[in-house]
This record gives sequence, structure tokens and C-alpha cells, in this order.
Amino acid sequence: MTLTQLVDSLVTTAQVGSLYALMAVGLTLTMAVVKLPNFAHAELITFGAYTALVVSLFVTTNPLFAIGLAFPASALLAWAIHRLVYRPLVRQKSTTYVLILSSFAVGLIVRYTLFLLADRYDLFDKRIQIPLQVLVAIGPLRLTNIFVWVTLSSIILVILLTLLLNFTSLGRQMRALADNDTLARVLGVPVDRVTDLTWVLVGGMAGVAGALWGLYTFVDPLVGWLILLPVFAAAVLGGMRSFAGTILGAYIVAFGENTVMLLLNQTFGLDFSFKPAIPFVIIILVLLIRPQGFGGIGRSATEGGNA
Amino acid sequence: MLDLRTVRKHFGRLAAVAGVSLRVEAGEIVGLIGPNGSGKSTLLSTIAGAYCPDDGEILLDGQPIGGLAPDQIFARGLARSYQDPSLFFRMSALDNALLPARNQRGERARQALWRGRWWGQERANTAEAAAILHDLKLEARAQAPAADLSGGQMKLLEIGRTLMGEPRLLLLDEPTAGVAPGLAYTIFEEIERMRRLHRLTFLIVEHRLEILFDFVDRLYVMHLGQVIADGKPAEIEKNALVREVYFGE
Repeated sequence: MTLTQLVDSLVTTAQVGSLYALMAVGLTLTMAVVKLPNFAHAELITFGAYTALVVSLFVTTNPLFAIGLAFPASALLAWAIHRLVYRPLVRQKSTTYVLILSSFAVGLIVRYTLFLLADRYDLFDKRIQIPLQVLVAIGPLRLTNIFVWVTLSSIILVILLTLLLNFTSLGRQMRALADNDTLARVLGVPVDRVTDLTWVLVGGMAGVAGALWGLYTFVDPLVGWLILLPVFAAAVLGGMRSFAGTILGAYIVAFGENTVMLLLNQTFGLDFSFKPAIPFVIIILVLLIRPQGFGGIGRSATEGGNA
Repeated sequence: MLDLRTVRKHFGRLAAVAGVSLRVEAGEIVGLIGPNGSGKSTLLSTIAGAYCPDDGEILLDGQPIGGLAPDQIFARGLARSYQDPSLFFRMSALDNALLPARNQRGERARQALWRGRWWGQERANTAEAAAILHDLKLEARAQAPAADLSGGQMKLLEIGRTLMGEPRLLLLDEPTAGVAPGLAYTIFEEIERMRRLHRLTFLIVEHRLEILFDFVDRLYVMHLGQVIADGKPAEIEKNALVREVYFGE
């Protein structure tokens, strides 16, 4: 393996890991607060990617607009799904299995609606139109403006979410809902409003993640679905509860998919088509050794202190 | 303040609460005692809205609250504690105390965006919660997860937490269950202090009669879902029927 290849794979790890982290903390928040492994999270990502694509194709190539508009678009979609599907089901006291199945259904409906629209307006395999620039080129290290946009936005959003959870009363109420929703209700937490806002945040962050993913690679209606599994892997590694663990999990999965994959390819001639399996090999290994995931590392999403 | 009129709650064919009438006046500490299974906890849960009464009336300050949801009843100034401490165990003691604070601006989306709108209030709430923890001698454990507190500390925190919701009437279900005797006395002293300081009213289910009798103004005795006696501690101690069902004499 050449040095350039190694450095390239590490740069990709940082970029993809940041994106996985941004997607996975939203998923972790949904699982903790709403208690739903939301498979339609994939489509929130895809919808954000398409919003950014449409903006960049027809409105402006300023990345700030493309990424910025993906937030309200996916937030609105997440909120609408919650109000139209999940909340009525929860009110009918549906089981978690029914909710999971309904999240699959919602995901499929959104995904194939996007297929129809993409077909009609010829929006397959398009790249978000932002001119690529190389910002840093030191030896084998090449960093582009896309890399900076993707990693910085992801990291900033994850930090903002962590601050919100730990230092605001809304965050405290979200943590209370995650801990004991019955008690939270009895103590006067406005559960409906907090749940609404949780979906808005989760949706918005997924949307931005989708837009950033579209900067890095191509946009098509399957984009969210194809990255959902590594994202789930990151959340499982985080013990489905801890933010620090989820973020660590995201980088581990990305490292496995890129650097470890490259190493396996160069050393044992393992074909690159094996790449999607790598996160799951990691999951099985980690969970055999540490079944609680990295949940105990750092402060978890639902623990935390005060200002 | 609290007025129950022939309240009934059945579970299948079991009449857990079989027509209970009782009154609690503002500023009183009223005890509710009775053997296990006499319906005390069910009665508290029915008053607090966890169960809907099958029959009868529950009035809080003259307004019917029977059948309202627990959070609606909480909003009207009635808070409760549980036999097993109900805390947010993964959150810090301070966070637990902060949660029931009323009208938190930061929880509203539009307000939350502007730090200036809620920061001052959050600071004030935090100071108030810290003062409550200080009074309960829990300040050293403020940042500890609630799960790490001792049984007695959990009980104190649970009662102290309700203060942040600015309640007027507190229903306490065995506030000293599983607590060392010395601390049990402290908990009741704390209850007495809270009554004076915050002008609170209490209805307390408790098995430790030796402590309870020192602190309550009046008592109700339940047996098989019904009130069989009520009066001042001295009267209850002498009541022959109570001695028979409760002390087995």
C-alpha cells in the first residue's frame, strides 16, 4: 500500500465517519426519546439530499443554501410522518413491532415517491453542483472544500445537539422522556411538544447529513437506505443511548469500511465488494467482547449535567 | 382543600376502594393508615389521576378532578410521591429537581433559539433547585446520577423535586419506606418544615406509626377499602375497632 492510498483512506474515514456520526446521533435520539428504531430515518437523509440537489441545480450553487434548506425540508417531513403515522399509532397503543413495521412502510412510500419524481425530472445519480476546490495539498494529503464542509458541519451540528441536550430545559425534558416517559408526563413535561421538537431536530439533522452526503458522492433515491445499515451499526456500537459512544462507533465503522478494507485488499486480496460487510463484522466482534456497546464511554445522551 | 365523596375503584370483582369519603383542609398534615391491602395506595393513585374513579367525586378546591389525566392534576397543584422512589435515575439529582419547574421558556421552540430569552430563567430555576437540594442536605450529590443516591436521599429528592412544580397539596406514599430509622425522622421533620415554609398540605400514607403520630394533625384508618375511623392521633390510638383490625388486639 502506498502512503497516498493510506492517507486518502484516512481522509475518507474522517469525512464518512463525521457523516455517519451526524446521521447516527439522530437515530440514537429517536431510539432514546421516542423509543422507535426508525427505519424511515434513511428517507429523511435522502429527502435532505434531494432538497440540496434541487436547490443547487435550479436555485444557487452556494453550499450554505443547499445545506441550510435541507434542514427545514427534512424536519418538516419528519414532523409530518410523526403526526400522520407514528403518533396516531402510539395513541392506539400499538406495539413497538407495529411501529417498526410502519417505519419500514413510511420509508418505502417516501423512497418510491422520490423514485417517481426523480424519473419524471431526470434526477438520478446527480451530483450536488458545488465547484470542487483543493484547499490543502501537503505531500500525499489533499483536502478539498467538500471535505471541510462535510466534516465541519457534521461536527458543529453534533456539538450543538449535545449542548442543547445538556444545557437547556428542552434538552432536560428530552432526557427525562428517554429515562421514564410515564414519570415525565406525571411531572408536567409537555410530552407532545417535546416529541414534536425531537422529530424536528432529528429530521433536520438527517436532512443536513443527506445534503452533505450528496456533496461527497451522488444522489439517488436509494442513498439513505444504503447508508442506513452502517449508521445503525454506529448506533448499536454506541449502545443506542450514548452520544459519545455513537460518535466513536461512527468513526470505527468508517475506519473499517475504508482503511481496514484497503488493508485487507492489499494484504489478502479481499475484493472491495466485501466493504458493506465490514461494519457488521465489527459489530459482532465488539458486541461479543462488550455487549453494552460503548454506552459507558463519556457522558451518555440521556445522562448529563447542568449549566 | 381536598374533598372525597364516596369514591370507588374496582379491579374486576375486587373493590380496592369501596366508597371512601375524606377531607383534607389547607395546611393540614393528614395521615392515612391501614393494614396492607386496605386500599391506601390505590386511593392515592386514584386521587392523583393514575386511575379513573369508578364512582364518587374528587374535589380539589371545590373543582372536580376525578378522571383528569395525571399531568392535568399536577398542573392544578397536586403532586405525589411513590412507595418506590420514582426518579429519572440516569439524570443528575439537580436535573431531577429542575424538571418540574413551571413555564420553562427554553422548552418552546421559538424561545429556545434565543439564549437571552431563557438563560436568566434557567439560572433562577437552577438556583432554586440548588437551594432545595441544599435544604435537603443533598447539595454534595447534586451532579451525581440519581441512581447513585441512598434510599433515604432518593426519598428526600423525590419530595423536594415536587416543590419545583409549586404544588399546594402533596400526596406521599410511604415517604420513609426502606429508610433507616434516624433518617425517617429527618424526613418527617423536613415535611413539617416544608409545610411551614411553603404553606403546603399533606396527605401521607405511612406504616411507621410511631413517627407518623408525632407529626400528623389527623388520621384516617382504612380497612378493606373503607374508612373505618378518623380523628386525632390520641383518639385513633384508643379506638377499639382500629386496635382490632390494625394491631390485631
